[in-house]
Amino acid sequence: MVSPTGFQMTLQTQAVLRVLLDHPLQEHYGLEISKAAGMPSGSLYPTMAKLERAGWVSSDWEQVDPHAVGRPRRRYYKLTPDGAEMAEQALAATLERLSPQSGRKGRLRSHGFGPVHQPGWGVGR
Amino acid sequence: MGCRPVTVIIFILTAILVPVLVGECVDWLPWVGTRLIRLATKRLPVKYRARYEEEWQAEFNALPGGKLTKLLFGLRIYAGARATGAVCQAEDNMDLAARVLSLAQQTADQAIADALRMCDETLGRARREADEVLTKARRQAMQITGDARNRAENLERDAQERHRQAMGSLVQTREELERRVDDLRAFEREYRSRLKAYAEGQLRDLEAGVTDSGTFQPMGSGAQPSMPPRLRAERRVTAVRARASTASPR
Repeated sequence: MVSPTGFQMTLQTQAVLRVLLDHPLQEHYGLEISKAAGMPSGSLYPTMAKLERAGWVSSDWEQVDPHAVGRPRRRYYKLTPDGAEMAEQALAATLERLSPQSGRKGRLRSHGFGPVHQPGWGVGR
Repeated sequence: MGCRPVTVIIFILTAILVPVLVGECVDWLPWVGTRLIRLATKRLPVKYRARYEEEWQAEFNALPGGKLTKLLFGLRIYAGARATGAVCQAEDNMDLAARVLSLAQQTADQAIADALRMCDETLGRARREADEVLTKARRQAMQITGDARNRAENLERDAQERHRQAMGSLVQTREELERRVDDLRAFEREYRSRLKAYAEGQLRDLEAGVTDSGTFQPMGSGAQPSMPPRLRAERRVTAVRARASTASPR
């Protein structure tokens, strides 16, 4: 499925979004996401770049001086407010497509994705 | 037990060298990983290289596990770098497209502004020229009208003059004719009265029995042709008789 933001909602993308949505306000670094999503680092970074380009995810440097701590800074990723909303909708839409016969709301609650904004796009197409 | 010295030497060398070499290689593995990360950044667009090198080196440093894990991480990063680079390139392309679009927008805006200005100028010029033409035409029209009016007035004056002259001569002719008519009437009156006086005289003579002495003088210059006296007498008698016959029934 191609979303309005113009990238493919692959399984890996969905996995990454789920990890980020589990703690939407928290910042994550790459290794942590790849471990939690169960995907190799090699394919994590293209996915993160894709999400960042679409504006769903923002990234920033760790607030340390690399010379003082004697190591390179880490890059932290975080969902943007818009990104969090769109990620929820996109995942809900994906689930909807996977099991069309079950009631959406109950099923979504059972998956633990929290309150779902009524999607204005992509659902049930 | 016939162990040859060469075999023993080879065994000893192997037993010592292989662990040393393996240890050396294993120590090199992280270095290889670092090199792989550096090589991976070469697959990215230039402006993303510094960011991803720092990011990946930081992750590499923080990797738990042994030296083989680090090598594997380096290999994976290297393998995925092409895809990461493609995403970044797409982003750059979009930036470029946005820049081109904004440039095109600017050019279009400029062109529209130019066209509007030119349109305004042309319109102003056309309006000015139209005003000039109109003013000129109005002036010419007024001049033509004035000329025509002057000419018409002249013509009218001439016509009136000519009429007056013509009427004047007619009046003069009429007066002359009237005068002549008056003259003729006067002449007629006088003639009648003389004729009457003569006829009465003749009647008186007749009544008195006096013979015509032939002294009758016709009036006027020589209008009446002179008749022989006999004929004249006869005529006079006839006239008197006619007169008497007409007067008798009264």
